[in-house]
Amino acid sequence: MHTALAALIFMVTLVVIVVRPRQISEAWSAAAGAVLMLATGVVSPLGALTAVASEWNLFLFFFGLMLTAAIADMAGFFDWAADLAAAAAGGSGRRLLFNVFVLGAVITTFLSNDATAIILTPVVYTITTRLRLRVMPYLFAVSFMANAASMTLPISNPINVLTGDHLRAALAVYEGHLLLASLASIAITTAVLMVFFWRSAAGRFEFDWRSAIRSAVSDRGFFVATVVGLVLLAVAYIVGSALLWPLGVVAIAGGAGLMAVAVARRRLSRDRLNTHISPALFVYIAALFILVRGVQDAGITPALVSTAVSQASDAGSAVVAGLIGSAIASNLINNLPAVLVFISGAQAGGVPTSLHTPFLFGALVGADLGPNLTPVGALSTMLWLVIVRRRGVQVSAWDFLKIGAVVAPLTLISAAVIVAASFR
Amino acid sequence: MTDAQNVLNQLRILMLVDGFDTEGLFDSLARLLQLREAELLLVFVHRTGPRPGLELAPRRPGGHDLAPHRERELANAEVEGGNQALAEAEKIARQLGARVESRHLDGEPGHVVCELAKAERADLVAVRGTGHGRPQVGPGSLGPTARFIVDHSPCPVLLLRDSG
Repeated sequence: MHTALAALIFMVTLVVIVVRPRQISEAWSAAAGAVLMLATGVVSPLGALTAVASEWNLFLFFFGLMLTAAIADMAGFFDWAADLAAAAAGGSGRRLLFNVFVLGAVITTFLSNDATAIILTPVVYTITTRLRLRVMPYLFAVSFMANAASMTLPISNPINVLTGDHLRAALAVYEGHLLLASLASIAITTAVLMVFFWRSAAGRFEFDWRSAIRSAVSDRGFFVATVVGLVLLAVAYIVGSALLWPLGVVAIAGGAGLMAVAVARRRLSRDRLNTHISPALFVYIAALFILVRGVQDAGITPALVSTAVSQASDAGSAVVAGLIGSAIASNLINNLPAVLVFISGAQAGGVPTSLHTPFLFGALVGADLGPNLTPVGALSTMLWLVIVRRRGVQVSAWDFLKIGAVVAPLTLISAAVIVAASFR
Repeated sequence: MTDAQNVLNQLRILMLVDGFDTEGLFDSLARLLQLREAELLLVFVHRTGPRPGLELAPRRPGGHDLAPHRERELANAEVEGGNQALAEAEKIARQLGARVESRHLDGEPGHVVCELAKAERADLVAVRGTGHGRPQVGPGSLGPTARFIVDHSPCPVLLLRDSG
């Protein structure tokens, strides 16, 4: 009864999160599910508190990330970077497309996939519109690269921080398993999309980069201080990952430092800050932790994970099992809840101790690269396609699915081979 | 000049300028029609509906779809791009000897063109026939705007293929 109730609440909540009936925010749907878990006694108040409090590092990391992105945006960093990419393209649409891949990979690596997808997308949309190029190739470049480059460093995706907290893997170990796979994923994604958009990105453009950069950077002192701060933060992330510091603390310290610069230069804009800081995100994540605790206590996550890993006999096959399972789950229910289920199941004894690390590395890769198959998870993509087609809007999701059907399997297979080999 | 070309000279042609490769668009048109003395109504439509592709930017739970300052910048870029595209098209059309009038309008391009063609009693609508990432010919070659215009235009439609 207890198990069935936990499974029912969990599944119904995830469906409501994905479908978003009446545009209800995912945060409130998740919160309602968490309250139900508590009200029905599936999760005790103490269990809920422990589940949320033990992940303090992830909350701090998200908050630091939002602060950093907000100040970088206020300083004109993203516009400047996009202007630089356009200037270096020398008037060629195809070279600009390549530069957007590079830019997307660098920003994802050091500022996370969140910054790339949320902030760089509108910046690239604006610059390509101004240059009168077809926007789609460039938007796809950003969107795919946000996932493809998201396992380069432990801070390139909040999911890495979450998984890393449980793996306790220092930077050298992390990179030993994932760096080559990440570079392969970036190269494959770039090559496939360059071929796909070769004709569409053929346009040429004239670009007055001096004037563009002047208008992007309104306060040179603030901009320079912000760039210096971002470089120091990147170094701190690398050192922190190597020494197993809690990355949330590093992110908060970096965000606070950058905010102090903005205050000192009188450039802090409350409106801009509000657009970047999303309190509902914290409600969403906290609620997910409680929901997952519910299914974990009911023995569901260990059983699920144990099924996924049942055929794995060694580290290599455990990587593959984790990767395939989490890639599929990420497309069905979104990658954050998917990876939470995998971590929870592995922790609760669903995976033999000897296979714990390779299995979670595989799950991390699947959750990072898997979303390149469908833009917002399979179910919501289907709903979205139906709705936008009914309205007669030009659909980019079909294109995404077409490219994703090539990119996602290629990057997942190459990563599976490389990461599995790294455990031999 | 043939009689047929003389008739074409008197046409009032409504041409949708989309901002991409305007020169190529005119090359295709000038290959078919003698534009000297033709009356050319150039239209650029600033799309006011959902922007295709922007939905690829994920939204944080409870977050904004697009930050207000980004929305302003994007709208400015669209207007700026539209003005440049029209200015470029006007220049090329005048060089080809056409009598030119131009309009920068808001709305869904297909709807706007069909309504304008009706209101202006256009004899012919000229529009780029191929869309982004679509084949040059065959089923699915027409973009949604061209498809709408072919289906709803009150006058004949000339579909221009990319010269390459």
